[in-house]
Amino acid sequence: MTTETKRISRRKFFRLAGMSAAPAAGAEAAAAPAAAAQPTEIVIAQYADLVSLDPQHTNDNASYGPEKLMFEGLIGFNEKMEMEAMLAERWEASDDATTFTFYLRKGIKFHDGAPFNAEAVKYNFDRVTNPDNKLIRYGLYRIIEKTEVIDEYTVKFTTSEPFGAMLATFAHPAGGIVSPLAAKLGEEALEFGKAPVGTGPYKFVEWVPGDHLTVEKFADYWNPEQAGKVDRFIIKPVPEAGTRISMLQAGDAQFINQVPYPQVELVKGSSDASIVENESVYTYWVAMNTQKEPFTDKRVRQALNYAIDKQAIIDSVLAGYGQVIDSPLAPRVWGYKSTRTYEYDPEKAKALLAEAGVSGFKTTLWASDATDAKQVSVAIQGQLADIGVEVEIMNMEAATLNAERFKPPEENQSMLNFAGWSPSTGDADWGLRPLLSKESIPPVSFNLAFWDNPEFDEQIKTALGTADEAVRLEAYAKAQEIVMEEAPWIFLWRTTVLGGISNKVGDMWIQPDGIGYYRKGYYK
Amino acid sequence: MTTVDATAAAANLVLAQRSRSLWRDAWARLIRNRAAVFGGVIVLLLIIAGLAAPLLAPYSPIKQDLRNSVKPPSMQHLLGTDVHGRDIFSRIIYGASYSLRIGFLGAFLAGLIGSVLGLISGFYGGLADLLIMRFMDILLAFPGLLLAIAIIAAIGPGLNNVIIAVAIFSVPTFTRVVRGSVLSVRQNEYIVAARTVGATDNRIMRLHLFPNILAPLIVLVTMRIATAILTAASLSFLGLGAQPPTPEWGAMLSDGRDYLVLAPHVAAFPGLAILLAVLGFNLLGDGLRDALDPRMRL
Repeated sequence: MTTETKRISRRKFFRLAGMSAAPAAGAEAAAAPAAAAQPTEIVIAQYADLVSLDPQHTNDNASYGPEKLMFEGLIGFNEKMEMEAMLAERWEASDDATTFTFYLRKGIKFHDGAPFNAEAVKYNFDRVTNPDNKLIRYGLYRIIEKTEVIDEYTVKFTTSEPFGAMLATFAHPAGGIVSPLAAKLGEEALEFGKAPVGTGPYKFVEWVPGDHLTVEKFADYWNPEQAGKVDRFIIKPVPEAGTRISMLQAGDAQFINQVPYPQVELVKGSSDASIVENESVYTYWVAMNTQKEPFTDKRVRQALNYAIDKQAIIDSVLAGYGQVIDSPLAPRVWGYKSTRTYEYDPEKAKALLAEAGVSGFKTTLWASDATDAKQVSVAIQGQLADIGVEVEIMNMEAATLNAERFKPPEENQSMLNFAGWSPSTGDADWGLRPLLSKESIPPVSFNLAFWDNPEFDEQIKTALGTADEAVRLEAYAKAQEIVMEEAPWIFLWRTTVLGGISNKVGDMWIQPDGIGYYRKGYYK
Repeated sequence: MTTVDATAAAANLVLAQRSRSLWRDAWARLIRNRAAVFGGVIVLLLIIAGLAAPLLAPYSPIKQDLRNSVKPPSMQHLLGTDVHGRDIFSRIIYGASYSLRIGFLGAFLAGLIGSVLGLISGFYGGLADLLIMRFMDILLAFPGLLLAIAIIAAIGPGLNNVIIAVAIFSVPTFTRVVRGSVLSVRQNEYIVAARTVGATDNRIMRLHLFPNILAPLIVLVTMRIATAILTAASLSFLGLGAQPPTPEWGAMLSDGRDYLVLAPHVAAFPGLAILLAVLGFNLLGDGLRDALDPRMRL
């Protein structure tokens, strides 16, 4: 405890004395340890290790959070997942949603000194859309047919077909612009993802996989208002939630990414730390295999919706950190429309089953083996038992579960599937199309309900065919109504994402899509 | 022929008289051993709980009441409730039957297979002995739990498969003990005598060898029940054993892990149940060993 107090007072002292925290390595080494200016650093403990540091070759949130300290896209999201201009000043989309022109900010430099301009942007999107490069995010951007340099600070994209959700796709963290200079070098060495270079407020120092990532403040950052406020960020993977919380309480970490629901009170009870809540865009549901008996019958699907007491599960398993959903989309997703809910009514559920001529049946529920998924499965099992539906739970390890889920319909054994989804483009398209359209039936994508509804697909097509927001909104509203009425899923809840933050620091969050938003972090 | 039968009958008579007094002595020694009696009482209580669970448990072990999630012990719920609002006391009582079933079946199955292999190995020696014992060495080379996990990975999770896994990894221990005992008993005069009068190998093994190695076997079975319960709980804790909503102690312990600091009762009571069960069988096993095997006493 005493050392803790000493360290803070020293930091405070230097701040009061107006000493800059700029690196003064020589002086630091020479001076006695007590007098050395301590660089300010924020340690972040997150639930998983980073996988990659190349935004175009990343598909996990644990990597995107730290990446966003170093990379920025043409457009980005703020902590509420609202789109904001980043490296582009403004943009235009053609009415048919096939060409998108971006006007870039001037005078921006990459961490390696290379200039940011239209050529750099073209290099980036040529890189990700070239299938030979085998980048994970090829699928997200392959719709871009060509990228043209109009002048030094103007760049034009043409898509192969109308794509109304294109702007949101640019705001996806995979749209982070990497330095062509470094990426070209890295291409040969296949090392770019291990020593990345971007335009963000922090630049790469070192990454020891499994141990830590260190980034330091980039002195030539283009936007003084958003320049880094601490000298360094250190990101550590700490999979054990209890350990993360201990680190936060002991001052060994200033921010922890993800606090499990049962342990929220533990952080709240601490005088040195608090919980940062953020309403998420994660929605959770149980997909019913609509191509198999008895889920081919809409009444059966609706019955299961009435049979689940969502609020009771939220209050117990989720410790209250969730809301019952009234659409497949969460309110923070662009295009969301409040549609309807299925109030808990087991009698009505039984009546619907009787009407459908089904009197109790056996089925299986697939879910991951994560603690909360297990607990949710058991709760659902208990409530479906009340209406005579006997559920066998199969909690599978993530890789096994995915392998089983993505088998083509004829081999797929899936009946009920508990899953969640957060559209990282923040747009209705990515919250509906990969989950519910016919083209997304496994093995292609995540339509675990094997739902094939031409009316729905028509609305999705209409919305994609235009850049006119009013038309898109209307089409998505209709699409949501169809989904809620036809009930290919048991609609459950959206969650609140929870981080833990030391009371000495501020302005760090977990974004609604679960990605850490750390760049504004500072010492109070 | 008549001579042979008469001799065998006489041998049996002698054996029966001798063993009756042996068992009586052992019983006397056992009830003088306080720790063993304590262990025995725990085991007895567990058996009662397991058999009479529907009568003893105040609630259904699987009926959920989400509005009463994670409640501390109270008059309504003696040991509190878990995250799904289920009564932990009722679940522990029902859990006893699962743990006992795994323990007994696992240990007996292992004892049966191990005894047969051990008898063959010790009695015949030679190639059979070599093959059996090298195979046992291979099994023993794996740490017990790891072997059980590997077996579960191959045959799938579930309570019955846990029994099989537990039995398989216990077999080598039984085989070794039985073989050792057989080797020491094999040279005794009564075996030589039986052979001289023309008894078959099968008969010698069943009637002369097996009864004389019963004592160490009983001790080992008792001790192995404890190991089996612990292993089954570990497997369920890892999600490889009992599947939800089965009230198995290891699975309950795993469910309570996240609530360890704020609601310790969710994990503590199932943990305590495992501890008591293992302690009970170990104390009883220790007592039995002291009672049945005079050589072990110091």
